[in-house]
Amino acid sequence: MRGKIVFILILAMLVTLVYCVGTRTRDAHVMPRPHLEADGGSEAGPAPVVSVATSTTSPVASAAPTDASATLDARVSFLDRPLRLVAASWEYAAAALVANGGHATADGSAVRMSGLELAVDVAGTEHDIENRLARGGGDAEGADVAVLPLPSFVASYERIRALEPQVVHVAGWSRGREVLLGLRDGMLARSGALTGDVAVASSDVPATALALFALDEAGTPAARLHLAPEPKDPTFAALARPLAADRPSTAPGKVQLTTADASRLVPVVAIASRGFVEAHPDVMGALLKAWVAGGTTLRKDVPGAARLISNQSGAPDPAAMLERLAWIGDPGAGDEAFALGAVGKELVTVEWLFARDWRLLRDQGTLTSPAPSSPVVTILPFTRAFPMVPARPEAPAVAQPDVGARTLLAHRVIKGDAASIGIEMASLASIFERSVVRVSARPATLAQEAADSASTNQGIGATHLLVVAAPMTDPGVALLEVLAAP
Amino acid sequence: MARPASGLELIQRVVKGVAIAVGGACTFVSFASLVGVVTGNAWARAIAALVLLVALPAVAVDRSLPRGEGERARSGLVGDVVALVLVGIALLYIGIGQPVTRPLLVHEGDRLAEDGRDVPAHVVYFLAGVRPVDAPAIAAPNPSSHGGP
Repeated sequence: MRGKIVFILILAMLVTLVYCVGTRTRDAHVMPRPHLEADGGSEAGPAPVVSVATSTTSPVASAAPTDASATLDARVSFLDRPLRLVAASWEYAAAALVANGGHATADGSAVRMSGLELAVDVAGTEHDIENRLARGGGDAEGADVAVLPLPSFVASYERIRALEPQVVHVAGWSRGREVLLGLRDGMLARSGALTGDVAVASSDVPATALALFALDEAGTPAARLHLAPEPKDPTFAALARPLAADRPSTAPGKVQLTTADASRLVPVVAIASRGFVEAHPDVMGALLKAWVAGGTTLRKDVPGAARLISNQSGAPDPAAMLERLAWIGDPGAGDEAFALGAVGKELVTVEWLFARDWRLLRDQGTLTSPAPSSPVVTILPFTRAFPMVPARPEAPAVAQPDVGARTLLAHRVIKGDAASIGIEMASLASIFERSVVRVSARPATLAQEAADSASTNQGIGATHLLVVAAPMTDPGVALLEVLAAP
Repeated sequence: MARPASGLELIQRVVKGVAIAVGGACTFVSFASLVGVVTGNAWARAIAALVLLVALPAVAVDRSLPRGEGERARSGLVGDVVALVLVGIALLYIGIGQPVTRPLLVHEGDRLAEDGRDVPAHVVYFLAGVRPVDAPAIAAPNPSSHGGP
C-alpha cells in the first residue's frame, strides 16, 4: 500500500514538474556567443560583433567596475540598433544619462554592462516628444522610450493613443518644480470659499495638474477654471520653476502649494508603446535595471552627475543642474514597485493618478474623450528587471503639527460614510506624505471612525491622521485639512 | 524463483526510472547553477553539483532505512527515496521556484553557451523558461542622433 502511495506521489510530482516547465511563456533571451580563443577568431560565427566607435568614457561611468568591461564590450545588444530614449527635461533624464555615461553609451557604464546600446536625448517641447515616439526608435530622429511627468503624458495621450503607450518606469517624483501661487495667503484653506469662474495663469502642464488637483479638492471644480497662459486678472498662477524674476507685481505671488508639499502627486514616468514593450520585455528590463543603477550612482555622487550631465551638448551649467536635480525625488525600485502596483495595495498608484489627472483635464476641457480602457501601466519590464523586489525605503517622517499649524488645503465632504471619508483621507495622506491630515466631522464620532477606516483599510499610519473631537461648524459631514509640515 | 512483475509494477518501475533520470538531470542543473554564483569554472560547477546530486539522496536513503536488527527494508524503498528526493528538488528549484531561480538558470545557460556547449545550453534555457535567440550584430549608432536639442 505504501509503495502505491509513493508511486502516486512521484507521478504527481513528475507531472507537476513537466507541467510547470512545459506551459511557461518563454521570452526571447539573447544567447551569448562562445568565448573566442586568442587565435580562433574564425569561430565567431557569421555575424561578427561590431565595435561601437562612438563610445566615450565619463567620470561617473568610470566609477563602475571595469574588470568585466572587456567581456561586456564583446557582448551584443538585445536590439540590432541602439535603444533611443528622449526626455522632456534634463533632470528627468539624469539617472539614465548617468547610467549611460552621457548621450551615447560609454565604456564601463551600467547600460553597457547590461548589454544594451542606448542613445539619450532631451527634447525641447512635448510636441517634439510625441513626434519622436511617432517615428519610433528605428529612426535616428525617433525614440522608443520617453520620460515625462505623468500629467504631460495624460495630456498627450489622445494624440498618441494609436501607439497604446504604457508607463514602464517611475523615474522619480516631482518635489517642488510645480508651484501654485495665489493673490492672498491661505486661499485653499477655506473649502468652497472661491465662487464663480476662477482664472488661472498657466502654460506648464504638470503645474496645471497641480492647480486642478488643489482647486478641485478645495471645492472649485475644474469646469469652473479658466486656464490660459496670460488671462486677465488671474486669481492663481500655476508655474514651473525656475520662476521668472520679472513677473508683474500685480500677478499672484503668494505660494499656496507646491509639489514639495504634494510630493506624491506628479510622478515622472517613462513610457513606451505597448507593442515595443511586449516585443522586447528583456530589453526594457535590462534598461530599467541599468537606469535604477544610474539613479543609485547619481545619489552617491551628485556633483559628479551634475558635471557629467552639464558636459552634454545643450545641457544647463552644473549649478543650474544641481538645482534641477533637487526638484526630483527618486526613492528607488523598492518604492517604485508600490507606485506601479506591482506589490502591495496602495491607494495612490500611478494608475490612480492617471485616472484622476484624466478626469480633471477632461472636466477642464483639455481632453475630450473617456479615459482609455486598456491598461496604461505595465509591470512587465519592472518584474523582468527586479524578480525580487528590493526593500522599500522608509517613508519620510511625519512631525506632529504645532497648535497654530498652517492649513495648506481644506477639503469638505458633503456626504458620505466613514469608509468613503477614510478613502479621501488616505488619498490626501498619501499625496502629502509629510503632512498630517486633520479631520473633524458631524457627528464627532464619524471623524474617529473615518480615521480608523483610513488606517485599517488603506494602511495609513496613525501619525498621518489627527482627529478633532469638536464638531465641525461648516456645512457637510466632514472637513479634511492638510496641515503644512513644520 | 522470483514472481514475474505485474503490469502495474512495471509501470511503477518505469515511472520511477523516468523520475530518477529527469529529476537527476534537473537537480544537477540546479546545483550547477547555484555553484555558478560562486565560481564560473565548469569543472568546479560539475563536480560540486555531482557530489550534491549523490550525497543528498544518499543521506535521505540512509535516514529512511530501518535501524533495528532483523528489520528488512521494503522492496523498492531505496529507489522510491532517491526518486522522491531528486524530483522534489527539481520541482522546488525549476518548477515552483522558477520565478526566483530563473536568473540563476539563465546565467547557467549563458555559461554553457559561452563554453560552446550549445545543446546543454538550450536544455537549461528551456528549464529556465526562456527562448534562446542568436545574438545579432550591433549596427554602429548614428552619431547625429546623440546630439542635444
